[in-house]
Amino acid sequence: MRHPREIGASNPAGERAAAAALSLCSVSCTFVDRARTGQRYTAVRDVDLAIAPGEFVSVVGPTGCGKSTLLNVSAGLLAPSSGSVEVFGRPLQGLNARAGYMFQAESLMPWRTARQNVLAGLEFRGIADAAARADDWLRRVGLARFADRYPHQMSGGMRKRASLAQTLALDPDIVLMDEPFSALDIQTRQLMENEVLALWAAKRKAVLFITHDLDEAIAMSDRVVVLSAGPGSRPIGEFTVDLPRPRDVAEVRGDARFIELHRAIWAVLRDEVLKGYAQQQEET
Amino acid sequence: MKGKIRIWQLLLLVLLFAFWWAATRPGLVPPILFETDKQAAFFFGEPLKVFARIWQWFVTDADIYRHLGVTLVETVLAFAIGAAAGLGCGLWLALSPFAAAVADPYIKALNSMPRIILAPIFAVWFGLGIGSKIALGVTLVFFIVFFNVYQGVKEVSPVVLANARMLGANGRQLLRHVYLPSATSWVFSSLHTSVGLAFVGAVVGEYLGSSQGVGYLILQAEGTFDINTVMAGILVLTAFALALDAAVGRIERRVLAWQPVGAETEKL
Repeated sequence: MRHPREIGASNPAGERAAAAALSLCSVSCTFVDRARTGQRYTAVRDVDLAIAPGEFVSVVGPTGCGKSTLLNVSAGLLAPSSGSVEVFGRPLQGLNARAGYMFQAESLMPWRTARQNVLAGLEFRGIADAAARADDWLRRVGLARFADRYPHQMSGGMRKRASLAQTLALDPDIVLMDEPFSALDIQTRQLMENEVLALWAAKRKAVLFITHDLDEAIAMSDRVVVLSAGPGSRPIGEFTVDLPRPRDVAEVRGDARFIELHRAIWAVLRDEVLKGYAQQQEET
Repeated sequence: MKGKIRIWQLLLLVLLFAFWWAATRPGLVPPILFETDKQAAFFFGEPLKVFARIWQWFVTDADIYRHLGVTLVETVLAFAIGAAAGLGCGLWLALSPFAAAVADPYIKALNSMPRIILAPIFAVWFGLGIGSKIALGVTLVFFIVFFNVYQGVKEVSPVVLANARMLGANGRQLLRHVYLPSATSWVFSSLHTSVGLAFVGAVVGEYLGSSQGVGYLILQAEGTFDINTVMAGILVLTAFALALDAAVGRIERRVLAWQPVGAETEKL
């Protein structure tokens, strides 16, 4: 495993662990095929990753490198085969109650309107001023006028906004996002990215953001982690993004520093993308 | 467009009755299939006499309402009991894989059994009143609803489920807010079939042995070779089934408002 030249000062994961909102310590995940027990697939191996409170960290990597696996482990939906997960210094058991998870696929309950969907989590947790909070979040994501629409009556962008409001209405300390905007067109996507950045700037949650889009990762994050191609993916590069905030995701792309960072990260990522592509070719 | 379709549908209906009338009218068409010109009327009935019979039932004698009421009560009760039992069993088995694996061959066996032949047994168990008819309808409705609910729970989107769990739903809340709504949508999508079967159960039960109901009227008429009354009974049952189906469609549209329908554009 080669170690790339790192741009900017990045502390080793260990030093940050004490105060980390979320830390993964040598996490490995091996999946066993139930039909053919001999078949094993190690998605991620020995992953160390720590996210400080209020830090926005993006993970990029080629397709099929186990990015979503890391997120599921962080959410407590998936138990790692080995290694441990700590949330604010406490070992994670069961679901991560301090985390909000924004899924890549459609996750709204189709039988609930936008408002009822945003209310869902607040109701489940028995929060007192649920209705007021839901209305407030609908307004913040610009869905106040569409509160009574069912998911199938909303556009893809509106559904993502509803998901965002649903997740953030619970005021989680950690926000996990799995390629949340990958299904959106580029204009809607940039609008949503700016909205997320504005919401994040106001509340300063720890964010673990998974994406395959390097531009998006650099434009939004404090730190970008590059995963190697699977199987057995692990972080092979960490880059601190020292672009000034607040940022506009469309404008920041023209910044000289952005281009420099992009070139440096892409140099690491490119080989892995090619490797991942070659593996997929072999499999088919 | 819609009006045009309605007109053509009505026209087709009138045409069908006209053909029926012309083919069975003694002396109008020379007998081809039958030996005398009276036989067509004997085997197929005559539409005018059939309508006269229906008129008698509904207006002059007004004695069919009791029978229709009995058949309706049987249908509704069979549907309600069968659907509730199917929903309960479907949810339970879908959520406990062990019980499902144990019960699997028995459910397959019960489902593939021709359940109409249970009618005589039910008549012995529950008597000739409405009990045996409801029991027959329940066995027909139960499996339709059961399989749909089972499928519905199995096919809950794993992402929606994971999302609900991340939002803090406990086991009971998952059942109430995720599994049940998902399953009911499947129940309603099978509602047309299951209400139809509840109706079939009621009428067949009455036909096999009873003292009231539309099926009983048909059985009585058949005993005296009164083909016109049999036909009248069939027509009334058909109209009744259509009305029931329309009512179901109305309820379905209200309950499943969240489900996407084709297109929702409006011409301005």
